[in-house]
Amino acid sequence: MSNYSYPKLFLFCIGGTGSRVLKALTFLMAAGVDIKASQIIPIIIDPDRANGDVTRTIEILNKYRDVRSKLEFDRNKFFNAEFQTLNSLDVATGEGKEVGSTTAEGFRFGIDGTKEGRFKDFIAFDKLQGANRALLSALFTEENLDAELKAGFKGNPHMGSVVLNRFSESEDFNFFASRFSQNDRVFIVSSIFGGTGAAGFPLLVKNIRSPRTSLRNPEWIKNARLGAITVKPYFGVKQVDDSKINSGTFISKTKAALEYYHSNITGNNSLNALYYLGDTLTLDYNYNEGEMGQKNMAHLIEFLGAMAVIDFMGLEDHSLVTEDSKAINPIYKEYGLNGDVKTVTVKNLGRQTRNRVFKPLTQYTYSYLYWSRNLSSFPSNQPWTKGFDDSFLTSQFFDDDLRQFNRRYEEWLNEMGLNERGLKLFRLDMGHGLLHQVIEGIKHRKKGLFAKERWSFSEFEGYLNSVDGKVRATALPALFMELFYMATEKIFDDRIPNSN
Amino acid sequence: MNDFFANLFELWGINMTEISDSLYDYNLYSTIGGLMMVTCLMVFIIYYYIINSPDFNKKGHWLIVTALTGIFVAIVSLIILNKKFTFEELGYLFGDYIQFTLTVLFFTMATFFVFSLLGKHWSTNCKDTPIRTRR
Repeated sequence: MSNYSYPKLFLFCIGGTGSRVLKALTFLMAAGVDIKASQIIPIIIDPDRANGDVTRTIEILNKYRDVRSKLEFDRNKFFNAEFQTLNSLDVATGEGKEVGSTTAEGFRFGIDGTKEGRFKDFIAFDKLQGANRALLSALFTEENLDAELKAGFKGNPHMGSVVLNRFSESEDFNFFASRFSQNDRVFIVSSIFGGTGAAGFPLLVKNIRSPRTSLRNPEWIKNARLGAITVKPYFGVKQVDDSKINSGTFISKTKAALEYYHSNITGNNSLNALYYLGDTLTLDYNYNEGEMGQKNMAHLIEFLGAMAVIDFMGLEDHSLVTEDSKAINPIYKEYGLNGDVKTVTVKNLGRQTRNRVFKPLTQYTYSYLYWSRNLSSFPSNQPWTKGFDDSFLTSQFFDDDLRQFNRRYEEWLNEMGLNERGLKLFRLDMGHGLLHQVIEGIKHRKKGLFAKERWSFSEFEGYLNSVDGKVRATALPALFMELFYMATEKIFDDRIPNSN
Repeated sequence: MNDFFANLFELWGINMTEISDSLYDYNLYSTIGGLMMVTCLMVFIIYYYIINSPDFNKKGHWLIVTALTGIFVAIVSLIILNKKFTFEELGYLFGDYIQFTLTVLFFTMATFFVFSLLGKHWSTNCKDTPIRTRR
């Protein structure tokens, strides 16, 4: 089935957690994990303009698109999913206001008045007098009022809820509505224990379920198939003397937010599907208040968050029915690991997760290992290298796009492995002849005359040679990727036992 | 068959030696020619379709295999004709034996090269050995 028969996915990623889940999803898509979406339109909502997590995610998304733009997808599934920016979409059909432009910058959603200035300027605090001023002084501390908006809400959802409430009036939201088609889906990723996500999520749900009538497709928007993931605490923050973010409050914030959601989101059937994720086993990150410093290590929870997006897109239309802004029979899901272990391997993932990701991730990781550890020049004696010469290795595609993307891919895998709870699917430090030890906890099939489990890049060359001649792509980058996709598919089918 | 290999090994008269007539008369051209063809075919199949290894498909590897095949056929040929001529009590100069043996070595390597060019395309790992002929 062609991807174009699937609906578009508008993926709202709020705050740092939203961006990190999006990053995980990008890597899964690069590996060729199947998602039933014709296009994925990530919309990052985070006023913290210099947030390290956001900028890193956007860099990865841009590299993904650069790589993908040179590929073909007849037989290759690496980078198969299409990420689009909101402003690259054509207007959807429907009645209402014609909207032709957006202030959205790439994947980032613009919220009026947050590019600069302090919170007190945003609420015009200095112009208030009497009771109003006193009320706001009671609700917000001096520190809140003096906070620079471009640095985000630093764990203060009460500030976020004020600023992000401007969201529905923004031109960008209007633009989103004009690009939304009847069968498209919306998914919202946020954390419940921080500032931006906790504040933005309920506001966004409210604005989708009760859209302004001046929007282009209000009926489609309000009855959209809407899913969300709300991430409960899964990391801590090391406390310093003047910390503005205190991880000791994460649980109480979560409880308060869940109580609020119970009345305003789950309690009134606003969502068709809601995924809950969290972990009791956490690692304390170094303290920082956002901006460049907020570049958290990748985490299993974010990986599972990305899986929730994929799961949501796999749900049948008839199980996601909405009537008059209310979801009929909403779905609630949690994730259970196969074993309470400190470091999760592929064996601890649920069967459905494994079926979805194990093969593609293994294929991509083996390809990556070949490219990074074994491809310093094209060996002319190997038939698969026909058409390639070493100038390919310094080309824009390989050197600038793919290599840079993969540098982030390795970083992502390593960070997940080091985190707590860790996700260690692969060992990337294996030597040349030990490719059978790359997948954690999985014994490979014994192959060949001497029934050897051990295999190396030499055997990898053999697999590449065996698919040479079956590839159909014409352009070199596409041919290159198709070769590796088909060879690693054969490696997986040949060497990795199904029962594992 | 004897005529065909006689023409080949004698290079249509250019490469005649004292032993050429005896080789022809005792049908040794066809014996040695047959040995050469069968050996080349067997080594070709073993190299391209049984070993068929990505670790053993460089030009250098192919050259070693070709040289060893040539040497093997040349030595066996030398043994065959020496045995026959000794049995028939024919005495020839050592230089004549060497010239013929080198001729066999050359034609064996040439035959293996032709087999390689004609039959390598269906090998997965050696289809570009010794040279890439695909466009």
